[in-house]
Amino acid sequence: MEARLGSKQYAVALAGLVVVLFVVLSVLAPSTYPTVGNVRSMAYQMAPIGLLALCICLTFLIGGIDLSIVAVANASAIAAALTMTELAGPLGTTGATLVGVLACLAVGIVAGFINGMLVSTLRVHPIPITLGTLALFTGISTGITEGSTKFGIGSLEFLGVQTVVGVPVPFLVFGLIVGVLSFVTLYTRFGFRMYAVGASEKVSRFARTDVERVQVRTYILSGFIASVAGLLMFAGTDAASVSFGSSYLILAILVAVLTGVDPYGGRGRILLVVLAVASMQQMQTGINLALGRWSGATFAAEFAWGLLLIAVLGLNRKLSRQAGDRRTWRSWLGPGDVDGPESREPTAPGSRRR
Amino acid sequence: MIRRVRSSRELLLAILLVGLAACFTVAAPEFLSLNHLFGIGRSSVVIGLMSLGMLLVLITGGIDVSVSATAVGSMYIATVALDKIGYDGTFAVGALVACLIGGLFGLVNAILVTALKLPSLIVTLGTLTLFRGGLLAFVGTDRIRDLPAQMTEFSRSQLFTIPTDGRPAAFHVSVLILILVAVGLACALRWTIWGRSLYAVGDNEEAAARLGVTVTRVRFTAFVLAGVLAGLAGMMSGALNRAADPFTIVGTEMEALAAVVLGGAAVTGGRGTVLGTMLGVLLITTVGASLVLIGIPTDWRQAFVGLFLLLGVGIPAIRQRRIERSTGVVVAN
Repeated sequence: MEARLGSKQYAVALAGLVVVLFVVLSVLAPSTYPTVGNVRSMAYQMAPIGLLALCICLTFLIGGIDLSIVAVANASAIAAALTMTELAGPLGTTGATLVGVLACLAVGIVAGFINGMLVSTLRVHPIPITLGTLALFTGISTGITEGSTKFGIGSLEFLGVQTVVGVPVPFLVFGLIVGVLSFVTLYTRFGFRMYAVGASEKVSRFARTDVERVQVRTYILSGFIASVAGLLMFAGTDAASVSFGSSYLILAILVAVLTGVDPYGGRGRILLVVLAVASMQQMQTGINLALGRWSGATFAAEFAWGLLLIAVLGLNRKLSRQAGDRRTWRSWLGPGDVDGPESREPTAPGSRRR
Repeated sequence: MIRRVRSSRELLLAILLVGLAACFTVAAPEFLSLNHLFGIGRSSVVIGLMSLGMLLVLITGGIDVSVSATAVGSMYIATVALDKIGYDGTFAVGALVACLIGGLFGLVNAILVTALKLPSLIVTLGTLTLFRGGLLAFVGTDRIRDLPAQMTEFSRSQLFTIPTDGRPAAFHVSVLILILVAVGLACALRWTIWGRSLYAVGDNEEAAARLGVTVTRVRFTAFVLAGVLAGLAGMMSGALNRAADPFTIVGTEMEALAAVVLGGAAVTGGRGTVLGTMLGVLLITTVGASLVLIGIPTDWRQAFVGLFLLLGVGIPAIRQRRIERSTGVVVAN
């Protein structure tokens, strides 16, 4: 089990990081940091990034990556905004909102399906494919909106800004989805197959796993979750634009790497994404507290995220190499198989079923 | 076999380009005007230079998405530095400084990817935000309009001009620079040991190592050169736009990648040619520059870039699937 989930110590260390960050920042800013208001506002911001990070985690788990998530989130939010304003007249506010939400999620599912089908039928590494769909989805959204910001009809307030027993609704949505997916990855057959495909696509084929189906389902899940993130972003501001969340992709990857999910697939604990996003959000707030008045603060934060991503990745690689993992970066761009050069041999039975 | 496939890709691109040009000409006759054609050449320069750098990295089996940040970073830093010391010599020195700075950025990528053995996509995504964030936070966010004199002068230096009915069509020097760099690189890739070892490393790292190729060093040079070329691209962009704007060039790494992949380079490494890349660049800039002529708003430009990228990846993959299915043999990528 430990081989699949990563070490227990890592989970403890991550929890420790969250606590330490909280204590340190509370000491540095005793009047503003450890307040209900601050924690609540951090919870609001955590939800969309946490969901996007979840997309990366899931695709990492099967040895892939979905770089199009932010584009999908924005496209979904734009779809919601456009449908709602269009239908507000004929259907009334409630009807329009309902259809808008459905349209939003449908965009995510369709986008995920496109990614999944391309990855599984072309059997090319998902990096160039999802970079392509990233450009495609962004391009279509830009074309439709002409690059402008689209506004909704202010009907999603309950999703965006309300709280239930003190907990912000977006965070509840995030928690619910993480809980469900944590269960799915750990205790269902599909989850087991995700780990198996991530550990070795070839062995999975020998074990008669329908690798393609696992891939398509995972990318659909990723697209769906990205559209939920888009919905939350839209609900919070009642606005949607292609230019929103430009730094979210790097943040999502950073959180996924912090979660301890192996980018090469087959190892990681989905539940830890909550701790990872909590520590990331605290660092974000810390940076804001420290540099708040400086005009370059957002750019300095970008600089810090880049630095952190590389540092965490390097640390993770070092740890996993100590644990005897000999896979190199080269295999990561291998021809659709984590085993790299060996995949030039005849493929496993069942691999040419399509 | 491989050679045949490769040459057919370039032929296919050339045919596509001619077909596209024919369509554009029918829809809008001014497409064929010398002004428009030379304009396409001019707008190919920046993406073209970045694509050539990207090509080198892709051949070795890596990927570098930080080229846009490198380009804008080296352009801006070089301009600011030249401005500070009040340098007013030739443009070549400015370009050289930008290349050096770009090389330093490339060096960072090279060290991270080769020494620490980290996946190049995530590393370069990280350095993309790192370079850009660092530039905007610590160097400046101002758009510098009043450039060192030699840059403005360079933007006006045309190789030759052809008088037309309206505005005379001018062939800019930078296009010649792009062509020279491309030819030089093509020769180096084809006829030098370094060039051949790039392909060897990308095709099969293990085999290359056993043949005595220093894999790390080869990969290192690819990343550094990509940085140098991106620096040059940045300087060209600054000079051609007559302004050093730290917010330009963002997102063009996508177009460069699309061009390279469309040109036949495999993301798995070991394949790709300069000619193919240049045709890919030409295709993308032609479409980008001509959409307006046929009445499609430029907002759709990125959608086409995405489509081209997917086609570039998809077509060879489908072809390979078909070969596998008909022969029952798995072809090495």
